[in-house]
Amino acid sequence: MKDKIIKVNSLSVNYNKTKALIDVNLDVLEQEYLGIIGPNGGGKTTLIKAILGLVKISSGKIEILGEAPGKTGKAVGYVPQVVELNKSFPINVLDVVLAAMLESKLRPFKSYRKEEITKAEELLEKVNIHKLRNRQINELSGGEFQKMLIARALAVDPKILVLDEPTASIDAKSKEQVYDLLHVLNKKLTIILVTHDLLAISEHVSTIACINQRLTYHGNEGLNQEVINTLYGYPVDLLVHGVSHRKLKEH
Amino acid sequence: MIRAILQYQFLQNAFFAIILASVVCGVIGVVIVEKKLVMMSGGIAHTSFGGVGLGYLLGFEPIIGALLFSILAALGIGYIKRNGGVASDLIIGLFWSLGMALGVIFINIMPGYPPMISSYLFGNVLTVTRADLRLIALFTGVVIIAFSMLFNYWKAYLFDQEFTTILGVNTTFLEYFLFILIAISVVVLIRAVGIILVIALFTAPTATASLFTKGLRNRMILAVITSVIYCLVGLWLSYTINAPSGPLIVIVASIAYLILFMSKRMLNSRA
Repeated sequence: MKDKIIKVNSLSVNYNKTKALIDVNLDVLEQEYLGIIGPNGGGKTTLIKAILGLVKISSGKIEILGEAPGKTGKAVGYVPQVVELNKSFPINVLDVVLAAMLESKLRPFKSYRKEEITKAEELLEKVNIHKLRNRQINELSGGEFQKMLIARALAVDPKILVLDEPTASIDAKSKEQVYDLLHVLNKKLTIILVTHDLLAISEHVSTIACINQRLTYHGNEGLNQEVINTLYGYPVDLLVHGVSHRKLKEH
Repeated sequence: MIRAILQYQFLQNAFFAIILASVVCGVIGVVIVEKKLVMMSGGIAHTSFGGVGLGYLLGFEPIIGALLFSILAALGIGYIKRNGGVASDLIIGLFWSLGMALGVIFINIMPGYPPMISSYLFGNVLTVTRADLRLIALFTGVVIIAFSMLFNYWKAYLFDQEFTTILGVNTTFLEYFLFILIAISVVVLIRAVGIILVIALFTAPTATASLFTKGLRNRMILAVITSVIYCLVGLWLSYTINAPSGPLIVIVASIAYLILFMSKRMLNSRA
């Protein structure tokens, strides 16, 4: 039996008077590969931001490795949505990854140590963009940008990797590379993946959580049409291409 | 003009004030533009006019009043932005005109002849005194030391505030600290170009530098150099045609940026 690495107990989050999440209960086990899906504005991002300690919890409780959100130090690596970032900011790839090495306590005249630079370079090697290390981020393609963010998230040596729409704006080939990378990382890490990509969900992840204000489904049975329809409130096509993909449950 | 600078104290003061103001606007300008705080900086600058008025009314140095009001505005706007859930441009707009209104009223009710307030509104670097210069140098020093001391933290915070928060870095502190640095910078620039024209000096050199540089540090350095050039040309024009320096600096900066922007575009489209 694997340990529960994240415990979410009757979590509610309100933004002013809007209820973003209502009474969500969710446990994530060690080395789980959890896919979170749901309609836009359904609270997917809010859920992971609550886990990361970035939004205020209105009621309920979250524990990550026994700690409250925001108190977990570097146990969680985060890959935000690309659209939330300023892609024209004057910074190069290596510096983005190095930022993950900053100590939480402000250290005047902090400069990066040699081993920190080596580590950042190794991570860029791992995600296959080492040769781009001195490029400005506005010169990167969508896929390269995403890989850089994954390298940065890994630089904190996390136990849990949280990704918000990592394949939203990248081409099919990079998408495949990102999923392959996550598959390898999952051998050591717990992964939480928020996505619109229903196909990816059925193909790559081990468990699925469907969020639309409430947690409407959580399990590893695979997605069926009924679950999807309840989640979105209207019929959504679950397209399955080829034969290599995981079979969706009959219904 | 070079001989005149060597000869006249007021020109020397103006020259040094311009160098210091350029250092500040190069560094903070890049931050303001990248963090999309241009309007907020405008709001802080205009609010400071209330402090200028209060200084005249109560008989203390108006620039200290400006500093006080701009720091209060920076913290106030920052706080409401963070906790109020109100659109920040609304709050900025309110502070903007409230500060101006207070300034006008304070100056109106003060006894005696009303002072020349246009040098605060439009700047007059040729009237900078030795005492002003010492104050400007102090403020510039604070901004530069604060910025270089935490350079890598600023870089991380400016690029991705949330990620830096998750690392456990106190980004709330960094944010308020940044707002205070902006407030201090505004006060430095008021003497050079005045409250109303501050925004141009925060943006034009930065925008020019962004046409030619990549990294953050280089962009800041080039913005400083550009700002020095714009200001000196503006000052030279002001000296030659005997017109106010603040507006001329702004006109030079804006036109130079537009010309450079257009020519770069044309070169790129031809290549």
